[in-house]
Amino acid sequence: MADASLGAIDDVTVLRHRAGADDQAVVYLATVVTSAGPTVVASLDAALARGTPVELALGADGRLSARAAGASGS
Amino acid sequence: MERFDGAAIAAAVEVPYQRRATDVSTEKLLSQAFVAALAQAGLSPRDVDGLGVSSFTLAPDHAIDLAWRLGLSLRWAMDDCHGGATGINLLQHAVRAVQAGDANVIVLVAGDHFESADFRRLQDHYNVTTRDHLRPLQATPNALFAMLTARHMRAHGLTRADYGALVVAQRQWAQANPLAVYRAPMTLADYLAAPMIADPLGRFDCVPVVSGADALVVTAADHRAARGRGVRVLALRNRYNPDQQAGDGLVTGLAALAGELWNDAGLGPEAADLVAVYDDYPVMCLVQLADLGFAPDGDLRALIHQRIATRQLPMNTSGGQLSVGQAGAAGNVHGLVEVVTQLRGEAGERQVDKARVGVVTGYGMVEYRYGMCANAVVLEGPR
Repeated sequence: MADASLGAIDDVTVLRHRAGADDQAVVYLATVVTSAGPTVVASLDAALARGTPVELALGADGRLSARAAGASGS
Repeated sequence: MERFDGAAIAAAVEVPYQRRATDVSTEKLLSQAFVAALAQAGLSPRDVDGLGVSSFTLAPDHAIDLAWRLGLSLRWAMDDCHGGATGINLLQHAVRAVQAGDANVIVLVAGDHFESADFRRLQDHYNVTTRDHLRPLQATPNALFAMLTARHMRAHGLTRADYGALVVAQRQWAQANPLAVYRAPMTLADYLAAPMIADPLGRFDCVPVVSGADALVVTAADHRAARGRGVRVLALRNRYNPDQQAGDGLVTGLAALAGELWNDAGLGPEAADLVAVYDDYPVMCLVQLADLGFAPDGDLRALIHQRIATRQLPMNTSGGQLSVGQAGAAGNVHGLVEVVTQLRGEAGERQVDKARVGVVTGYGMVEYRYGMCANAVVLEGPR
């Protein structure tokens, strides 16, 4: 069975403005094609190139994040 | 029952849209649209026995509450919540109701009043999927359609300047529309220099949020209100959730319904004198036009520069939502109002010469990555 926690970056955007938001910090987002097939939307720490293999993690707040596979992190 | 004979659009109006409107409410805007539509049709509230309503901000009220506020006693009432596809959906049900004799005079109203906080609340709580999976990411529709646009650019070899040419063409139409909120001249350089919102989308790729309302009146084709100036539905088709959000978003439900639509209408896309394409983002104009067969060779660059920019294919002649503004649920009805106005020859400085057949599309209700609803209607003006 394919692992849905693995995937590859499809498209990336840098969201610079959100209507009505007090906090206008830059947000990195990507569509990720998971190894299991479905495409999901995930946040990134920084822009990644298309095709980059990533690992996905779901936070307690419901935030799905993607990180380059094999990258070390806290 | 594919034919839509026996019913007609007898009136089509727009309450002027406003940016940062104050001292107004959604109920007031919808009521203004209702009153203006009846005035255009030469009808009184006593003539109305059907009401269809679409609004994101009317809650907790619904159509029946608005009917009470307007003093209407009805035989037919409908609430619709299909976002950018709401107008055509309402129109389909209204025409069928008139055909079936369930109502004689139906008014369809759609609109919203947005404060900044209203719009943010709508974005964050658009549906459960949005609330649970997109809100935690701060993933707005602009971000989703930015990524969709990037895919589209790759698939068709387009650049930001290509989408910009479409946006500039719509602004040129808006300059002749006194109801457009944004009428200042715009060049391609202006478009390209605008601040980025979500790469590759800049400010002018994203519909400005406004407050406003639109309304239609649907009656029997031989009703005195429609006689001699009614606009007929030649064909109308809807397609909802065509791919379970498992595609790339570069094809809408219009691709699946196009054959049936043109077959019902007895004509093809070449017969359209003008089109009103749901333009929440420029990329979606191109996707929808391609789905409906307006670029049979797949050359979208030629479609933009040789047909849309030159007005060989008059598209979004009001200026579209990108220049007129997006008044929430009114967005799809706006396209219907513009095409009805054009087909009646009442569009003033922006009138398309000899406009007889017009096409309107609807698209919307983003579930997770792109819109789930798509519909289209082919309209014919009074002979």
